[in-house]
Amino acid sequence: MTRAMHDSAAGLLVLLTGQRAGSNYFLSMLQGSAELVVLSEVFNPRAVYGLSTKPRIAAELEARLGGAEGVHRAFRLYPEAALLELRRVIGPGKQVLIKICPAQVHGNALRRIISAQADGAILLTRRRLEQYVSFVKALQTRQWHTVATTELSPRVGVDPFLSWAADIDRWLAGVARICRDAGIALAHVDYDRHLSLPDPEHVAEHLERQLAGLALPPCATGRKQQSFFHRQDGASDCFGRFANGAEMRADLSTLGLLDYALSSQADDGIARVLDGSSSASPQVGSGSS
Amino acid sequence: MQQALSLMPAEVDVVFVLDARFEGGVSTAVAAELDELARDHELSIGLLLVKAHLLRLPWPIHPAIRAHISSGRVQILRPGEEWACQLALVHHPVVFEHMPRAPLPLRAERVILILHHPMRDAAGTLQYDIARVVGNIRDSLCEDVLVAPVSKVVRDTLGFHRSCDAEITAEDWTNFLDLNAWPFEAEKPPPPPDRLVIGRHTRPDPQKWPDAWADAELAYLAGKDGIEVRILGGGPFLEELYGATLPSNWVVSEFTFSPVQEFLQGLDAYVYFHSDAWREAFGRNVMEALACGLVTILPPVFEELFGDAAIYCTPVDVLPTLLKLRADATAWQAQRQRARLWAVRNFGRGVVRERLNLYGLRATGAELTQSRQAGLPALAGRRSRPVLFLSTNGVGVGHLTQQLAIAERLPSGLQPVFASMCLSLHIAAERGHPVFYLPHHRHLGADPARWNLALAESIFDLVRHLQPAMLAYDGTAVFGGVVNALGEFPDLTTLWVRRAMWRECHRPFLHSAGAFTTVVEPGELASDMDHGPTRDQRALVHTVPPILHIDPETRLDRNAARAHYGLESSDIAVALQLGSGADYEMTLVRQRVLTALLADPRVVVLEIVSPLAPMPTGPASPRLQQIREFPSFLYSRAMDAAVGVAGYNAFHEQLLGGIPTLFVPNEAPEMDSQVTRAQWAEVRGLGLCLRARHGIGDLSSRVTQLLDDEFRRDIRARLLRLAPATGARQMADFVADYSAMSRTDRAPQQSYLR
Repeated sequence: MTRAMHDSAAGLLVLLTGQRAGSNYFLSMLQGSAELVVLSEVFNPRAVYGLSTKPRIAAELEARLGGAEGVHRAFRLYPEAALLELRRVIGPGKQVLIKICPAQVHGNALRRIISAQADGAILLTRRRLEQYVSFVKALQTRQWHTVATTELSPRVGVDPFLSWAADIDRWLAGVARICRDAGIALAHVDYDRHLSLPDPEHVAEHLERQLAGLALPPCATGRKQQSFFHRQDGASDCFGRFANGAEMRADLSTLGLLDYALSSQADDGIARVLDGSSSASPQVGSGSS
Repeated sequence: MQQALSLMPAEVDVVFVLDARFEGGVSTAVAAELDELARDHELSIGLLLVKAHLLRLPWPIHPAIRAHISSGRVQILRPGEEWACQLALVHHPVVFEHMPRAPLPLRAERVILILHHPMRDAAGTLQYDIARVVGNIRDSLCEDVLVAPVSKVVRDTLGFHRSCDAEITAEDWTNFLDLNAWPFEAEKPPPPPDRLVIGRHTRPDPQKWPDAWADAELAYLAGKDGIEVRILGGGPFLEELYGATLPSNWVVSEFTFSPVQEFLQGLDAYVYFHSDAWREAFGRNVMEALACGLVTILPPVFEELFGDAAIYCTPVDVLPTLLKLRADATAWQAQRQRARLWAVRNFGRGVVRERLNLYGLRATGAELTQSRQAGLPALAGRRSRPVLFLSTNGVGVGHLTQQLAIAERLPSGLQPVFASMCLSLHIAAERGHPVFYLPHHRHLGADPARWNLALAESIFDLVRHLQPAMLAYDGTAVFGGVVNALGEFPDLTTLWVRRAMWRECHRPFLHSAGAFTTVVEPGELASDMDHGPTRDQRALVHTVPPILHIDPETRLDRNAARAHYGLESSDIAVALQLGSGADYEMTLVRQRVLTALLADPRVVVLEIVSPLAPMPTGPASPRLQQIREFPSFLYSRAMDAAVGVAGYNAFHEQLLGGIPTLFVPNEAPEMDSQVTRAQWAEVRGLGLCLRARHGIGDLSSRVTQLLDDEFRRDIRARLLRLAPATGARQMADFVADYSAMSRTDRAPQQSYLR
């Protein structure tokens, strides 16, 4: 029995990911089921993302929470209560999938959302340096999806990268631990292993396997779905995607962090949490300690 | 519509609430956050200054925070205004140990109370009552309060305390450090075998040092050859603490606000041991050392905070640990890399904004426009808050001039209003300021006791009517009427601008300091020769550099100034300014000075006549111009020399304006010690002194000396080496800051008669 049935509200699935890990592509693969309402970053500081494509839900929420501003305010200040209201508007018998990124919900609220409301969670990871380069390019263009960035060649600093990666590592390890402690169904999807594949059929296959434990509606695992998202950076060598790749490679090598940069949290941090070998209590809010 | 808008609170996104006078880690941490947020052009930032109870002395605002105020990027929220914000960040619980004495100018959607200090010290003594603090915040600012400790050390001290039902955040509110400001020299080689420089930097507090000399001696390598120990933030307290003369290899500097990066970059290693009674909440000093990649030695208690970024040992092991590491260049470099990497991984990014996002900040996506930054248009209909400048001045215009120097540098939003006993009060009115005349009892021939009753009533009415943000009093004598009136307004922030150079007859007025919230002493160039009653009080007051009404760099250039007086290029222009003569006879001196000056055909005398004095007569000469103008120093560059009294304003305006001057001090008993100033100038070759009753016989030779071109050139060269006087700017900032403070420094029972 899901918590949703208990609450007379929609069931809740949470996608937990750092930005630029392929989450928009991933969410688009799950669109298409009437039983699964796919939203996006509902706790984003700029807006409750995803509601604009669901006008009925948006209108009902606005009526309950005091207009569009009231909805935004509620999701920012009182995330648990706002989310419960959202699930009630969607109603029982359905599931809603939302995305949460670092620095959107503070640790206590996130813990309560996962332990008291979520039926399942998905951790989405990507190779650190690739994700960071994509992040830097998105900051440069101020566009977060569907913009070709192959031609951009920013300079990337070792220190900013390591700081950013440390934050993401801490956050993902923290949320993984919360999910594990809450005892909810937990799936892991890695961009490079499961999403960044040339054949959509292979992607769907991988997703079906990775998400099997989540009890998603039958047609929601991406099979046959055609995403309108496409790979934004066509360069194949990560160090070729920015101006100072050779310098960066040398610096990381000197620090003994080359493997770290070219791997994802699936290879270390969250893997240790998921297999129960980490007992640390990382901070989950912003990723910073 | 405009009226309706003016009733709406103006909005800012986030407001920092703190007592910004703290000189240590709290203010530094806030300044670092402000540095980071100020670069975010989508975020409007407010600052609610609080005068909390902990600091009783008149400390100024921390300079790094003051810089943000001066930049205009941060909006000051003044008492009496109405503001709203999404997040209010209350830095340090001491801010709300007591309830505010008046409604706060802010409504917040959420408050985050940041605990910079453990709730209990190492001995278990309660440092603050978290339940009471949260209760006060809820009652005065916002119901929704989150409590954020800055570190695990602080968090752990909350573990025993369950009386506070506010939610404690899962995340620590770690101090922010902008790594770009803390450069790391990756290639720096290990120190040579014969020399090692270690150091530490903390505010001067005995608790920041080991309890016993035996430990301090070991940790800080006392007397070890080839080892230099640099201490930033030391002082006489160290010798008192340890009862020992400090070792010769310790280089002790006083704590300053200046950037410490340079200090840290001069070190090879950082060593920090503190008292067993002290519980370091965060250790910002250590963090800064690690950011610079210093090999850092700490007691084991820090291991939980800093992991492998530092090395942990007891004092006895400091030396062997350092020597062993220095002998292994690879290990030395690896330790430096670990230190820096720790800082990079923890503080490398702009996490400050993300932290605000985390707790609910909504981004509008709008660029910060000037009007949004200033909180307009909601403020459009709001009036300026008055600052009431109250002064004595029975015989001159000195105090009033000094107040004008401050008042005319105040920021917009503060309206100077003058109430003075000065008969020249019209000069303030002519400069556009509202004025109220309060006659001195001598001018009325009134009985002082009865006059004081009337004075108290007048001041009471003024304060009640104006509701000023601050009352600033300037004068040596503090009349009973002033004290009694101030006693009626215990929550009004009051400031006594009290000059030095008192005579012994003024000593009884020292007791009046208690009637004011704070006392500030304007700087005196001659302060080292001042042995008056205020000298011993200097540790209790805030001092600023000398106050000038007209900064030298804003004075009219020489050609324009000389054209103003119609001077020829060959003229030697000499200003003559001997005061009102109301309390000290100068008639004979004036006559003789004029005779001596006019004997030189090159001389043109510009006699600046006091607004209070009748126009003096003769001698008739085309080379004597008699002028009444204010401020006369606007044209001081026209002058080649001056002869005048040594009152505070004239003395400093002339010397710092580079005018060679023959000072004739007014030695009336009620005046401050002008002769001290004049003698100071003469002893240092910065001017000449002629005592009217003692040295009149030397007058002619002194004037001759003054008119000697080479003599004046030498004096001018020395005068130009004096440090610029920034006192007026600093005083204006001080007044602006203190007048903006919401007060929580008094418990309710201390405020009114019960």
